[in-house]
Amino acid sequence: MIFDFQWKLGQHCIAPPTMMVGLVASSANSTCTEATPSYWTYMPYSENPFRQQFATRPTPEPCTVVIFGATGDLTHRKLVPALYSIAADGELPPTLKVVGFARREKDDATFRNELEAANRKHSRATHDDALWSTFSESIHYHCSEFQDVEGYRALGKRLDAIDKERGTGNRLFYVASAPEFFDEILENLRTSGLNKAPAGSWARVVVEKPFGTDLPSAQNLNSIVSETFAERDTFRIDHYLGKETAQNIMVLRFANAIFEPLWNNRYIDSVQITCAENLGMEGGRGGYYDKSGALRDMVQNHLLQLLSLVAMEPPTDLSADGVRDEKVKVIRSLRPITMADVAESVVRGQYIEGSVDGKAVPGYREEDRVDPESMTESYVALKIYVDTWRWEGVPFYVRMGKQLPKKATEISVHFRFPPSVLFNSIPMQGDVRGNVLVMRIQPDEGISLRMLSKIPGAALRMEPVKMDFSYSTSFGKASPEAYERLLLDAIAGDATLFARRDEVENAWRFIDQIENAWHNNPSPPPMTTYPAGTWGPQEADEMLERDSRTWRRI
Amino acid sequence: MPPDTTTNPADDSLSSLGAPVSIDNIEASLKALWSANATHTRCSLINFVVYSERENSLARNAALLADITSDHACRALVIDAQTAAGASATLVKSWITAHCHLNQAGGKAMCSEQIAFQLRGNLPKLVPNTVFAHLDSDLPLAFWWQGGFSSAFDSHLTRRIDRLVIDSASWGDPQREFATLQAARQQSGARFIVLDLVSTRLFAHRLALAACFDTPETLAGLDRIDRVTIHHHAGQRFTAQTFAAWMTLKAGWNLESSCTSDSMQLSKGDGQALQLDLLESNEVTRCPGVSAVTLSGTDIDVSLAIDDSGRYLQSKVTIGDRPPLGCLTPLLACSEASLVSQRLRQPGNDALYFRIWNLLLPCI
Repeated sequence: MIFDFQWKLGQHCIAPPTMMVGLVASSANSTCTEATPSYWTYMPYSENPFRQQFATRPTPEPCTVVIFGATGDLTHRKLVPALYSIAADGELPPTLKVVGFARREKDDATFRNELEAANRKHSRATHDDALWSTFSESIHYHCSEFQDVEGYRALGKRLDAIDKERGTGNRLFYVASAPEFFDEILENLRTSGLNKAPAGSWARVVVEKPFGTDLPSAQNLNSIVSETFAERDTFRIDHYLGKETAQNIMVLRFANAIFEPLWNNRYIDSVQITCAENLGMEGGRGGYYDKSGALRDMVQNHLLQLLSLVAMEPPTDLSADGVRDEKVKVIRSLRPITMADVAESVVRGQYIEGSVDGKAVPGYREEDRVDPESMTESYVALKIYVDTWRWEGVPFYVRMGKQLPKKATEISVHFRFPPSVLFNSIPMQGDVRGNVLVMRIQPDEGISLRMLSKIPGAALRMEPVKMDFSYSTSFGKASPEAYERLLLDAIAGDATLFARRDEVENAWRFIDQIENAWHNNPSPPPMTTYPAGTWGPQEADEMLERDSRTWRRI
Repeated sequence: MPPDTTTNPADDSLSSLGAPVSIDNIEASLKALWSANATHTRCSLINFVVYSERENSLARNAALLADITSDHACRALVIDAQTAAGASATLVKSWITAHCHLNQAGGKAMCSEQIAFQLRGNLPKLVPNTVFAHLDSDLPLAFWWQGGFSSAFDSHLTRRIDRLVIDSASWGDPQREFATLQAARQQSGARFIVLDLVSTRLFAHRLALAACFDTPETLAGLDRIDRVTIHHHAGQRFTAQTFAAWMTLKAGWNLESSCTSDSMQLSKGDGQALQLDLLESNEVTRCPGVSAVTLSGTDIDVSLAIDDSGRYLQSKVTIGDRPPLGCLTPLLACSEASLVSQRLRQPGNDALYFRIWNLLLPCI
């Protein structure tokens, strides 16, 4: 049976009675068209009996996504390719629109062409011309200065027209601009009334990192956000939480019976969290980085989030606040690193010229847009204690560095040595007696467990062996990009994988003390150095050697 | 390198099954296969048995597995079993091969092992042992039983199955097969969940119909529906009946006493009657199942139909003189291999599955 409608994907079509309809979203679970203006309204899926039992997770609802900073790198490399990949998987909600908001003058067609070129390079899903043609129909460009409230009022009118056309007033504002515009964007959203959703709809905001540069600026930004949007409608993105491997930490710990009984100071000797990058300040990154540094750029957000997932107590449920309540308890339990402790517990460093991947690279202070007398760290290593019953006496060694030998983010849980009564007379090279559980966050995502095994033969000799689980070989398919999951969650209103206000502020409180000890100390600890392409300053190795430990070889 | 398994589904010769091996040498031969191929990675998340008692099913099922393994790394056992009388009639032939696919991430060749068996003899004895002896330890067992159940579907086998894949649309005697299925589920120790391809075939239809009722206007119109017609392709009557039963349960309608295989008398919450008819269409399609659905009543018409390309379901809602609302829903799975792949991706229990059967039993 074929209707009297003429349907053609990616083209406009004529619907009786002589009413123009436009195809308004790509191959979502359903892609809907309707007349303009709308004669239909949408209700929450939960009220539709035919929808019940379909979803095992909150369902993304039809909405308009407004991206501030639409001409920026993030939009081109991550956000739009993520939306496209979601569409290709058939999970984009029906009647979704994307409106890019930025300062440069251009029309919809130019904007779409630029995004298409970026999508070809960056999307996880293979770029398909037919699908892109349909998907791009729902992308628009709105030109305005971020400071110009009239531009927001014009945006409001445009969104009203879209709402009327679509029958839904849901709006997701994604603040992906340079951080200096965050305040103004939020204030102008409030002034223009865009923060208030029409009755029966929602308005949410996603704020990119950095969420402040210290505690006062984060509190200031939070107060502006909270004057503009309710906390339940605020989604502070930390893309590490969108990674499959980060999400799997809770599954590994709480869905497997064998780990949790051992997950405490009786059995765990120490934990190491490493984020190594084999890049420096390429592509003009030095300008931003030199104002930030490794501690604020990576540790305050990503690495403390990973630490909290490793150290948290089991949540009472998997609700957003159930999980975040437990994570924030960890952050609040971090033992403060005072001015007196900082030299013992923190090592900062800068790379000097060296070699990475066979190429000579300059030192940090010689990099483009970096102050030649910069005191910004490109490497930081910390010894952190979590002052809870479970973790009493267990150090968490956290390190992050640029221009290290390889790119890797990994968490390793080092178990205590077994009682040395049976095999202690057997010679073994190095520190291999303890079991090590490694969670590889990126790349080569997976989990491995190191254990000792007898080498076959008449003599009793032992060597460590690894049991290894790899995402790519077990599951074959590439995991969705972190931004895909996070965008879907924000559209569905699920904040579990987003940072809450108190998490962000408590993390800054911890970091600010270290920054204060570095920069406001009459006798600050030295800025150490390390040749680019090596595993960081010797002082970081010595910090562990003082505890009779070593950094894990990655 | 593992044998090339780029097979033509139409090719029913046994050459696509790989290297013939004796049954007592299968594991050693597989080990030798992998030790000789360091560049290929053996992958397995489940044990997946494809079992058929149809003649010459091996090549066809191996071709299906070549597709399915691109989504589901597994230890695959493909079995062609035929009953043969007499003790001397026992015959087992076996072959090994691997289905390799480049993974998206690193361009590595990810390979699923396949062991093919041709079994001739006393199946209740032969099948469980053949299966159990060649499973990858500790991994779940998904068992695709093609066609109606036979005496080999006994408790020794079924108690070890975790996920049972069936296609109830292929059953000649649905009542008898369902009774067998229910009996197996109720046996002590049975733990399998049922993954019926009929449910998968209807997934897009359910989604499309649900999308039609996302607006308060259409939801209010549900009470005014008084006639439903479901068109289905040849051989898909039971699929259409399943859709009718799902709709009935979701909409809160009640089945009245009058019920045949091509019509159902229903009543709504207010007691008003609703007529549901099933009609067979002779369209040729790449996506057999339900071809079109119409729900009509005073001032409301809701329709679903597969579009010309066969890739989408078009839906259209008309209420009064409002301009119509239309939706396109992708038909993500049509072929047998894609249906199985999708079903294995959603291995949870279908909460309504047995309620649908109970509703349908008097009508089939």
